[in-house]
Amino acid sequence: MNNPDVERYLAGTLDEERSRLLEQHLRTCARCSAEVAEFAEFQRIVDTVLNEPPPDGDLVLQRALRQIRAEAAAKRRRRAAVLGSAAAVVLAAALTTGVMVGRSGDSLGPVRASATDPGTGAALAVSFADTSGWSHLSAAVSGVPMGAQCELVLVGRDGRETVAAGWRVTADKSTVDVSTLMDPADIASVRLENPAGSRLVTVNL
Amino acid sequence: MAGLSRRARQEVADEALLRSLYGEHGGAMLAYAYRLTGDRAAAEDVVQEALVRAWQHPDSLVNGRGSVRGWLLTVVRNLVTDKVRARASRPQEVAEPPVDVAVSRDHAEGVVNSMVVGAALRKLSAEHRDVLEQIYLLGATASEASKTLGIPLGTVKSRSYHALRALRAFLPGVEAGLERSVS
Repeated sequence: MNNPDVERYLAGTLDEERSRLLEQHLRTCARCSAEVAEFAEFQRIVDTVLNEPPPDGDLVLQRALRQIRAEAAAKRRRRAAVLGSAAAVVLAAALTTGVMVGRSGDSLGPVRASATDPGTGAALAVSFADTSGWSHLSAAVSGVPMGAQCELVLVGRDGRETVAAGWRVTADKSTVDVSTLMDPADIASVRLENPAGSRLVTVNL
Repeated sequence: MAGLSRRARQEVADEALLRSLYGEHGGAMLAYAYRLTGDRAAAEDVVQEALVRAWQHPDSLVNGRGSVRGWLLTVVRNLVTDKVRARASRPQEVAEPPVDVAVSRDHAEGVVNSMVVGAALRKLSAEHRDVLEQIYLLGATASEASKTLGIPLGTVKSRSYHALRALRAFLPGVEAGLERSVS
C-alpha cells in the first residue's frame, strides 16, 4: 500500500533524482503528501517532547532545588561545627588575622554565633530561639564606643537585607532582642553597622 | 542596598544552573529514566538525583567528555543500575505498579509527555531504540549515530524511520491527534 519511495524519502535515503520526482508527485497525490506531512509532524512532536522543558509542572526541579538547598545548608553546618570546636585554639590567632567565628548548636535548636572584627574592634554575639514560623534573636554587642548608634541587619540567603533593630549603645543597652519572621535557616548572616552604613562586624551563620 | 553576598550569589547561580539543565534536558532525562525503569515515581527520583549530582560535580559537567546531555543521561543510567542492584538485595520491597497505568491515563487525557515517549521506547526492539536514543535523546547526527553504533549510515537512516513508525504505533494518543490535524 505504501509507496516505497515515500519511505526512502522520509528516511533520507532516496537519491536526488528520485527525490525530485517524488516531490512532483506529492503535489498532486493527496495520500502520499498526507503521509509525508503526518510523519514530519510526528517527528516534530517526538523531538519537541524530548527537547523542550517537561510541560507537566516542574515538580522534579522543585524537589532537586530543595535538595541542593538542604545539602548546602548541611555543608555549612558541618563547616561551622568544625570552626566552632577549633574556636578556642583559633582565638589568639584570630585577634590579629581576621574575624573569629564560633558557633554551637544547629538550626533546629537555639543557634549561637559570634564574631569579632579586628579592624573595628566590634564584637557581636547572636543567639536565636527558634519558635514556630519565626525566630527570636538576641544580639550582644561589645567593642563599640558608648553612645554609638548601631543597626542590626539580617541578610537572607536570597540576598535580601532587613534592618531588624537600631539603637544607641549604652552601658545597660549592649544587648538587643528582636523578633523576625525569617526562619533562622534562611538567615545567611547578621551584620552590625552604623547608620551611615559602614560595617562594624558581621556574623556569618 | 548592598549587593548580594557571595554565598547568596553562589546559591542563585546554583539554582539557575539546575533550572537551565532541567529546562534543556529534563524531557530527555525523564524519557530515558522512564524507558529504563518503567516506573513514573522511580524515574522522577532518578532525574532529581541526577540534577543534584550535576550540582555536586559542576566540573565533570563542563569538562567531561561528550555533551552535557550525554553526561546527564549516563548519570541517569548509573543511578537506575544502582537502584536495581539495591532492590535486588532487598527482595522484600513492594512490587511496583504496572507500567501501563500511568501511560494509559495520559493517553486518556490526550497528553503526550516525555514519560509517555519513554514508555513507548521500552516497547521497541533494541535496534530501533538504539537509533532513536542516539538521534532524539542524545541529539546525534545520523553519521555520528552510525559511528557510535557501528552500523552504516544508510542503515541508521532507514532504522530511524522505521523506529519512529513503530514508536508511533505505541502512541495512539498522538496518532489520534495527527489524524485530527491532517483531516
